[in-house]
Amino acid sequence: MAELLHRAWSGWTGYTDRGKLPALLFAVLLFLWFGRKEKEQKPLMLYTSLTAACCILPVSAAVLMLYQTKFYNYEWIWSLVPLTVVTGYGGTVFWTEYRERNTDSRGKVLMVTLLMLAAVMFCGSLGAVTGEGRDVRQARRRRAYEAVDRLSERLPGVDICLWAPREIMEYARERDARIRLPYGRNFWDAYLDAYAYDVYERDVVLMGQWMENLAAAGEADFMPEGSGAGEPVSTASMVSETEREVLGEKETGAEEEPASGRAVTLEDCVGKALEQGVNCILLPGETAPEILDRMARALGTQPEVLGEYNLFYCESPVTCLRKPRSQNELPCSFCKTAVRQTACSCGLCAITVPPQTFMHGGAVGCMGGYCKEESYE
Amino acid sequence: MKKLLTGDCLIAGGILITGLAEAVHLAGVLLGWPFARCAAALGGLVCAAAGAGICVLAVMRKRGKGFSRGLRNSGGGESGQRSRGELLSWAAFAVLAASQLAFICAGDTACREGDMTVETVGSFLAMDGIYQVNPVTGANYTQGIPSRLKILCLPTLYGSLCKITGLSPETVVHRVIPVMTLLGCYTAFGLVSASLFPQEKGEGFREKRACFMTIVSFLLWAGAYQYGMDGFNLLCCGWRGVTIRNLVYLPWILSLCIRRNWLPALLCIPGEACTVWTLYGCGICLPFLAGMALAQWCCGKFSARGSARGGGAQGRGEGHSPVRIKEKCGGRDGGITS
Repeated sequence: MAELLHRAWSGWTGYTDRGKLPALLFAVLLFLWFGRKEKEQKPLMLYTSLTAACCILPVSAAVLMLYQTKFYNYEWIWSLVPLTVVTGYGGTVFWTEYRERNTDSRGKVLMVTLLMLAAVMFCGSLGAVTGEGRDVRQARRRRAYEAVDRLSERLPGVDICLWAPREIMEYARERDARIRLPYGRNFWDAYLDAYAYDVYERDVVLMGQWMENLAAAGEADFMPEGSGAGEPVSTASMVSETEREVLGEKETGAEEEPASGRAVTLEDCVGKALEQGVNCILLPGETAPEILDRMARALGTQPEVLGEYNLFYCESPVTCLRKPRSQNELPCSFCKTAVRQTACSCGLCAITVPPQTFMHGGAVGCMGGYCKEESYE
Repeated sequence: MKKLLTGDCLIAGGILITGLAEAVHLAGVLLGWPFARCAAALGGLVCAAAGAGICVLAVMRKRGKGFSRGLRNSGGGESGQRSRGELLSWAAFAVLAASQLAFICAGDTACREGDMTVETVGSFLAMDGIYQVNPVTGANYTQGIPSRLKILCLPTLYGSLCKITGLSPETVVHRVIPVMTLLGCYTAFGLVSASLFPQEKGEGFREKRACFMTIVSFLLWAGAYQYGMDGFNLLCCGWRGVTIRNLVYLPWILSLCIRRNWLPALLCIPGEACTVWTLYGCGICLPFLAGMALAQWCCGKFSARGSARGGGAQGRGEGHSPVRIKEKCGGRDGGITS
């Protein structure tokens, strides 16, 4: 509860930090209550005054946030307050009444009109949306869209599973929802984690970290602060929260993963990517030639220039070398006999295929839709 | 039911379309309908509902029952000449609203943070099914999604629009829907202005309405500075359920509350439940409606008491007159009529 109270209080200060429209609302309410005799919209004024007070006082604000199930931020409790309506109403009443009283003095009316406009402009900011500049965002989106379009043109009809730098990954599925990704936009936007219970495995997190390190430092190997192979982690914690805990977990017994303190190499990440079913990798155009060479050797394919990026495309299905398929024995969903999973001809999905999708004597395909047309020998 | 304005019918029609989308969406989720079938069903249902609605309205209008044309007609009490102030206000409003329209249509104004509607709609279309894959990755869900979220129908509505029109999800979600929300928003605020400044309140009500609309559009521009503000929601997040609720449903509820037309206001509660992720809460429309009803009741009580005291002093019983109570509270007996 104390935390909620703190959030309510800091929410109010944050809410009034950038703009002062709530202050304008209070000015209007004062005018409506005490500035004139007639009170035509008394219920509206009463309701607005009470709800605004509830939104400001930390205790009542915390209760309202609790009612909003703590999912929505502080500013959303202000949905209860008809701020725009009441401010507009007060402004209209004030202006029209002032104008009626000063019909013979246009200068005064004009001055008051300008003052009102100035007050609104000082309390808000006309169209100046906060955050990243619009031009920057526009340019980044256009670049990403171009890259995705080029990729789709280069590989028509191919089931693409793409691994690329952040600027592409963020927009890839917005542009073309047929493209699959090993990790999506929730990798950077923690709020999106609320929309699914799914979490990323540590391997996927390492892939993301590796790609970000490549974009930032241009290095093919990097030293993670910790690793805990195979363990699911919240993507929100991936970016910001302590990696040390993971390191501690890892020391207690992760198998066949690099020991703590060992660098994550390009080859490691390529192996993880193949396990995830990646068949297209985009690297920035300014990537060092030696890194491109190593990537080419690891994938067994040569890069090609695709706009501002280098594309590695694994044309033939990739067989994962890290975990031979023959080791995977899964029970048949019908007769419960262990079925030896030999090889999926698409080569991408054997490790993640849920067991219940295998039928005795030959699977019809995995749920991922990767190999629906294929059968298992 | 009390008389409704044209704007009321438009917003109620929008909520009805949302309800139809919800039905189709649930069919897709629970019965596993392919998305193409959902889109076709929704298109058919909307066409049928629109046809039926037009017929009903035509009949009602012919009989002169329960429906009035609203803003235009309600101006009939004043002289036909519009004042210069009113014309100037409407011109300023038109400029501001057009600039907002241009701002939205220009694109790249969308705030994507915390929202994945485009990806969700795209995945519905790509997989021809509802919530078959995780929208952000395109991979199968391993743990699933919250069931309260799963039943929200806006992605199906937007996806059906994409399917029917052939537009891309990005265009529909970031441009077409925000424009429709903008229109819905000004319809709702127009109704609020008609309720706040009714014809019966004396001269100059048309000018006041024009002035109100201008100030509101100016406030929406000015409020585009921060996430959660009305202006920002309208200009940068027009496709989200919370925006539709805050800028269409809530002003409409307010307008209906002022007119004491409670029944249509109840429509907004299921409308919100279908579009906004309220988790285990009851959303905002219900407490808003309850709060306004309570405020009106309190004002009525106080006014009645005050009038009774005044009437007692005068030795008359006029204080109990319901007409007087309503006048004091700014309430009205019926809807706004022509």
